[in-house]
Amino acid sequence: MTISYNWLSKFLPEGIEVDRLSKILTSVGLEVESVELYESIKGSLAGVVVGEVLTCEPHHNADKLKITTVNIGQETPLQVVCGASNVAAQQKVLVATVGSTIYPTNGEPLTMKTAKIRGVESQGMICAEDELGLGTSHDGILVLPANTVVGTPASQIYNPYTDTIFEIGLTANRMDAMSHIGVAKDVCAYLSHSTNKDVKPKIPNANSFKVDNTQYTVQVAVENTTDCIRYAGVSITGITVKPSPSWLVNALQAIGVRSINNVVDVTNYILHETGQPLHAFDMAAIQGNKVVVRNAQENEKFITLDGKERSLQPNNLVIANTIEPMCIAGVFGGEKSGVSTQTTTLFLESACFSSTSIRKTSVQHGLRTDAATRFEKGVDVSQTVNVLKRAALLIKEVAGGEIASNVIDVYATPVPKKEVVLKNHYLKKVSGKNYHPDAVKRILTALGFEIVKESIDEIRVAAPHSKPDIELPADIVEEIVRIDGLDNIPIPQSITITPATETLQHAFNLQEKIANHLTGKGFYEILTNSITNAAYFTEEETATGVKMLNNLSADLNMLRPTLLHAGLESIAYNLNRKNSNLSFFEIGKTYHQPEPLVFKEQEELAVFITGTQRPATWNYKAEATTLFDVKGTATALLELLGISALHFTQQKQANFSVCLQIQTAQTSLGLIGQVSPTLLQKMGIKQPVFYINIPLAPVIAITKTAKTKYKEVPKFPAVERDLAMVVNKTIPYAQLQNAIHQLKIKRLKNMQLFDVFESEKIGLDNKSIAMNFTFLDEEKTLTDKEIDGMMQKITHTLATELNAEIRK
Amino acid sequence: MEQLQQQIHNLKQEVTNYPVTNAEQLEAFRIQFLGTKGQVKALMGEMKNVPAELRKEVGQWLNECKIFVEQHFETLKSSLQSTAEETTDGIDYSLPGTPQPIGGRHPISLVRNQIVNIFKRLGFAVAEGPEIEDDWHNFGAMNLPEDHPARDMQDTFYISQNPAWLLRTHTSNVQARVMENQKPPIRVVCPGRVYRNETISARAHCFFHQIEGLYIDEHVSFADLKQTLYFFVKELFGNDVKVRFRPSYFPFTEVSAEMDISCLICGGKGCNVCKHSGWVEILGCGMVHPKVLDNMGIDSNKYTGFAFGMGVERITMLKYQIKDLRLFSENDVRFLQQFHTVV
Repeated sequence: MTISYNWLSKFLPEGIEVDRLSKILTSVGLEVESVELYESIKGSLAGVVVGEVLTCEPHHNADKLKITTVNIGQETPLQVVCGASNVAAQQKVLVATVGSTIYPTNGEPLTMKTAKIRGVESQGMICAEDELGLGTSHDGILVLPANTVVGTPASQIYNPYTDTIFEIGLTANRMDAMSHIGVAKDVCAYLSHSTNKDVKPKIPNANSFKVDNTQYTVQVAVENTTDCIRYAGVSITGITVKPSPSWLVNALQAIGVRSINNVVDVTNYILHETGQPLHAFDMAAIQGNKVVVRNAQENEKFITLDGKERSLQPNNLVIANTIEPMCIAGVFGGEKSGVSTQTTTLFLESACFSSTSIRKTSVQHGLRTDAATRFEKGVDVSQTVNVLKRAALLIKEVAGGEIASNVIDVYATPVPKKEVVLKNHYLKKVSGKNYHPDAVKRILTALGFEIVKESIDEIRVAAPHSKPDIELPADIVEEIVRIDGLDNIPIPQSITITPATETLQHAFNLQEKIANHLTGKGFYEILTNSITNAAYFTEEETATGVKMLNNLSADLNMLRPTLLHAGLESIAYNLNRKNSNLSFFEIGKTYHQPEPLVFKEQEELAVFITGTQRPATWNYKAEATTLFDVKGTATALLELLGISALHFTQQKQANFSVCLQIQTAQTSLGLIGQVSPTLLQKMGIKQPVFYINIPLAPVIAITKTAKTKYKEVPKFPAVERDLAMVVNKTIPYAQLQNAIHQLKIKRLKNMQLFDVFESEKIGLDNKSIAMNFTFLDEEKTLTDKEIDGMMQKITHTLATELNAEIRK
Repeated sequence: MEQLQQQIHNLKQEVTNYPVTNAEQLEAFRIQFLGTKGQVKALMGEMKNVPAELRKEVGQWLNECKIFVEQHFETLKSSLQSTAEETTDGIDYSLPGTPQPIGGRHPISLVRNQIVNIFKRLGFAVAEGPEIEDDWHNFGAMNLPEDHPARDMQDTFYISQNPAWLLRTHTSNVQARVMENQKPPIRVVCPGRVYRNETISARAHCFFHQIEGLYIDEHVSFADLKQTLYFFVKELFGNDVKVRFRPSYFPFTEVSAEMDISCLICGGKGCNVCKHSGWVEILGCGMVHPKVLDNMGIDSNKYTGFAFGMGVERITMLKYQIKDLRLFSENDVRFLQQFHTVV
């Protein structure tokens, strides 16, 4: 909302400077977002004066230039080089003197300096209209009447208007402050409170209003008194519609309202002064001499002021004559009924319409007009008639004429004032500050509240109609602390708290542990949009996906059912920027709708690796990432969380060329895999990407109850033995591992694979496998014989069950 | 006596200046000064000529001199040894260390954790709620009446086929969820992801993160709210930051306020970031609206409470002077790398 300093100051005590006013406004909740200088002529013609051309000679060095001497009322005339063809001696002209800045209508501002033009010094510039921002003409320099006094500042001739404009971020509850008077009331409440003295805004009254005759009495019928709460009107005749006087033009233009004509300008002026929208009808349009406030008929045609034909609906309220609508009530006027230069008699409307009705109509027709906005928020129903009289007076003042009817006021059900009881202790309890009852009364009275009753521990107030949202004691508390200033509420020295029981700590810690481990391993955490593209997924996947009714765009139309695709998008983004070694992880939700109205949000971990995690350095060769690196990452991560004894079982899975399910004996914990070439191609990625996906709920469940228990460190040494064997190529390592596990050798603490190779020497169908075994007896030192015995069991099993040939 | 003193002085000088750069010279040093026929021994021999009454004092001089020479010898010896160790393997130790990978958290996670941890120190517990939410918990319970502008289609994503469900537009739904399941006292912070149907640009995105706070008990006032938020801001931005509260409006609070801090860029003088006001808004807050308490079955005559909510992206942008929201979800590794030093 735009508020003019000059305008506002009319209603305030004198001498409140811009800075102070700005601070007061922000402090009472009318946040000043910007403060800007308004000038009807930019620069206000500072440093531009009237001069008389004394001499005018051709420039010896340029055909089109002239050298002039100009008397601007100083002792010595100025020498000015001028390029205008119409310059001549004896002319009265406008000179921009050295040091002044002029703001041309088109183009950049220009600051005057003494300059040499083609070798001749020029002390300023004789200006054309457009060069001073006075108009668009560039037909030579501006020549003033001969009797203009030399030395007169140009600002005295053109009277530039200046103002300071506050842009206020008005919150939705402050309908009462949508006008200059409304704002002034808040400022006065602030001043009253801070000076302990009642300060009242100087609000213009309509006491001089009187009916001149009743020559144009119009009948008013309000058919829908629910949506039209109050309707007032008056006729004015003998007016002359013409341009507005400059004070009116300036006041409106300063707040960004274009001047149209004196009548329209008055309605706009009053709107910004009081917040009450007005509408002026040409009396000639009121056929049947009757104004009917009614609902529109279904598909009733109506041409609005912008020339568009609109099809009205029964929920739209219209102001009609006896034949047709003239105006969509409170929203937009009609093409036929408005005031034109031919208008000599008009009917001026001031009304109060229901905010819900206005809102629906204005949204329905896409007409978000200034009037509609104000009615939507709620106008002051107590001011309908006062404002009408004030406006009628102002129209008489700027357009002439006579009041030609009594004031009609249809107010079927007067709106009662809402009464609220505020208990002193409640004010203290909510605000945390002790307020003196006098301060409370002063603030509330200044804001227009009526003190209905007061007692030792409470106060009953009636809220002004300008504040229809006041309902509860809390609303009154807000009014008081707002005017007092929130910064004036003292902060307690000590803190009293009721500590809360933490239930999500484990999950949070777990996520932090995972994140910290991975960042330590060189992974960067990413965050991707949870709204993704349904086109990435199969029909089956989208069937249980969560889609929106109103999408942002065709490619952001579904909540992600997996973290895979958005992560790949991030990888593609980086690959396209020549960063090809990427290790990423994300902890985020996936979203599913397994059945209608059942929504599943699942926290998951996704890990992405592409390129190498070990680029070449001077001492190591680069190593390409393989699925085994990823398997190792997953294993270590889960082991860190206390989950070991994992099985990885290969499974066919869409989107992956290789996929291993991560399993414990009881449950599945997710998967690792290499992303399929088809998906990579779809995502525009040209290098392998590896992926880990671990839903966190099962991990949280397993780890939440796990307890770390210390076990005595073994007193006896462990013994290691190596074993190399040749087996058939087709035998997976897991089978060897299993066969050994089956033996259940208690003292076998660990086995590790340390070499696998194939070579012609051992036969093309075979592979060589080398393993390391660690044995430990917690009670005693193992003897060679015992170890040999255990090794023999192992070799025997491998040889008999898997046909392994033990290499010696 | 003076002569003896002079001799000691000269000996010390000679020892200090004796050049030792290899083992042979070190051995020569030892023989010359500390050997059985060495100078120290010779000097000690002078003792016999010293009068009895001065022996104690002279003895101390000589002893001190001997210790000096011995220590000097040890120093020479050890420096010679370490030089020997350094130079024998011929390896260029100026070669760089083997690079280790460095990773990092996302700035949004970092700042979210910083914020949550500050409130945890004030006894707040973490609470969470669903992102796919019903109309009541997101709007109705929060006192956003049916025709409130925030419910307009352009702001809220509604769920296909179930427009009674939506993607939460703020974390305030967690307030409703917590109050539904827990009786006061309630003291929680609720970090989470929220959604707005807004065209993606440098200043707007369809998803972002908020942190909501809620404290309800029998004697909670606006003064308590100020105290908590002052502490929070000073912890997050440092002690020099200035704070102001401005009255504002939210349907779910009454008294409502916005909290501004002095601009971190210009320190309050006025710049582009603060639109020349010297202040930047960092959060919205207020006393929980009695209707919200009543909606959730909490007696608004008995209990009062405060609530606040802030955008994690907004605070992160202020903290690190990031100018484009889209950077947070593009995950450009050159962007992410810049935050690995954050503690």
